[in-house]
Amino acid sequence: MGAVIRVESLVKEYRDGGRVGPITLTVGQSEVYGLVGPNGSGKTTTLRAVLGLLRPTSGRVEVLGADPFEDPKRVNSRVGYSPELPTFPAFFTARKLLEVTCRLKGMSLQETKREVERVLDLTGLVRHADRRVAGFSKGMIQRLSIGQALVGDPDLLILDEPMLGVDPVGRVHIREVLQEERRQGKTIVFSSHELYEVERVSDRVAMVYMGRTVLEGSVADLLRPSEDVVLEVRVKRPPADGVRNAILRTEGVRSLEIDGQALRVVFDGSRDPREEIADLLVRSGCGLLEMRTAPPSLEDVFVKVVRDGVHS
Amino acid sequence: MASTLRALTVLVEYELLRSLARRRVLLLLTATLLLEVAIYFVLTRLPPLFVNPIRQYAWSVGLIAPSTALLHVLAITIGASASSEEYETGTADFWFTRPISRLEYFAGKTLGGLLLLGSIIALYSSLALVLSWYAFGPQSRLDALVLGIAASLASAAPSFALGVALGELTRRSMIAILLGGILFFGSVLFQSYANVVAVLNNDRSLLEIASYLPSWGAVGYTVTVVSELLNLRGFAASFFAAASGLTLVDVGRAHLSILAYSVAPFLAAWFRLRYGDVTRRSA
Repeated sequence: MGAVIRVESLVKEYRDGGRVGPITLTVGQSEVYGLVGPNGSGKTTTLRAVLGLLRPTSGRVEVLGADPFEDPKRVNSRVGYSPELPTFPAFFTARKLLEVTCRLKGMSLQETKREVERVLDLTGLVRHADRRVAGFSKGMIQRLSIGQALVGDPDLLILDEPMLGVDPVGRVHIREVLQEERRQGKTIVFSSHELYEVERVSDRVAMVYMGRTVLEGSVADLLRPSEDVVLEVRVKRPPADGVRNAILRTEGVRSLEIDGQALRVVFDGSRDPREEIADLLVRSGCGLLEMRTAPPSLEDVFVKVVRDGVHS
Repeated sequence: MASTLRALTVLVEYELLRSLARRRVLLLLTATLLLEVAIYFVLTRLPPLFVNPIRQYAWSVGLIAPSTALLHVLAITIGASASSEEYETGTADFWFTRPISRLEYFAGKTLGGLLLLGSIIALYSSLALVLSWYAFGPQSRLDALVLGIAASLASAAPSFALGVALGELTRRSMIAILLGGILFFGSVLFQSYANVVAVLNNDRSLLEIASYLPSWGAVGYTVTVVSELLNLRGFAASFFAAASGLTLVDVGRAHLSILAYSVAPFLAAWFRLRYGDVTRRSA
């Protein structure tokens, strides 16, 4: 499986003193690759370097066999990109925007017409095709942004926070479009700070934190229940501080989150503390309603990595 | 080759549409057209002694007058907007992720800006012709009008290039327009001052220094070319020099000045674009 994107020790230093890197990652053919991390962690910088919009201070970026900064024309002819905050020429209509992209991708008039209709249909924007994009809602802009990225059937799709500002119905729509592209064997790279979203669609994930890759691997590997076990508990009354501390002191317990009547306990799997926790909750009068183990999520993995990193 | 032509066509068309959608450019265009009307209104009120020598070439006044100042304001504005507004509005990402090279982008935007500028010159020159025909009767030497339009476009190239360079370097259109205006019209002011001092002191050294300024060739070129074509050098010299404090220029040196002050800013803009990052929209 050849690498579609190869980023080696990418470092980007900004004039204001900001720094991202070193980032190293490889994206293979037909992979759905998620780039996750909190806001400001360096996801967008990485993607912009991959697109040739930024010149790396050091390190190497290769996309589809070419250096995107030195040869953007070659790279962009095979890449579709949807930015984090899409902005298009305000006086363009949706149709005009897609037509311009088709023309620049070398399509004939006939092909352009067909492709524009296909993309408008795919993104559910047929009714708005001849409206100026200046009047579009956030969700419509995001759909148009993904649509223009799909023009010309690119080999690689790069989507920066594609779900940002999109309502639940729009999210489902975008997810369906991405699933379809995935079925067609497209390589998709997308960034998000919403780990649940990434977990749902990605094959592999890179976690970026404070400008560095802190973890990279397949979602299955990252979520392998070899270490942490997550216990989801529902109680009648939220536990008092004393009970909370007692749970945290229980051997093997790594963390505890309380959200009203819902508790989320993470333990390391070396021993099973469920009986002790249940006993503590019942004896303290919290009233145990439900207790079940849940598979760890990417969020748990990310939090663990960040906490371990901070502590070390 | 075909893809380069395609990219240039798309960008030139886009640049024309974009500029016309901007209020700033439309306002300046309106001001230029109003200036034309005002010029001919004033000319019809002048004594025949002034007007008779140029009666059949009255179109030349409307062609030359904007090139002393307003044309350069337009050129700086169009140049600065062409290069900086894509970064300001956030549409730079859109263009730099299309299958076009940076050179094609730069050439397309520059050609689009120059084409717009040329169209504006052609428009106000046509208005000048219509108004002069209406006010002073049939006009002659219209072949010189075409060359005059070309000379006006050439004379605007340094201010356009200055706008492009400052727009690309600062990536803020308003700052670029202000800086461009200060640099260009500062140069015009110094030139006028040098002219006055040279006359008063009979000292031509300041004029020699002024001839190296960016405005020297740009401001004097159109009036010189048109006056030579119409054999009006003496009249033009007294008419326009009195009005603006500027002198006619040596055409050969003016070519060099225009070339140098166009190429240098274009190169600066190109290197910034070629080797710099595509900055994101400012908050």
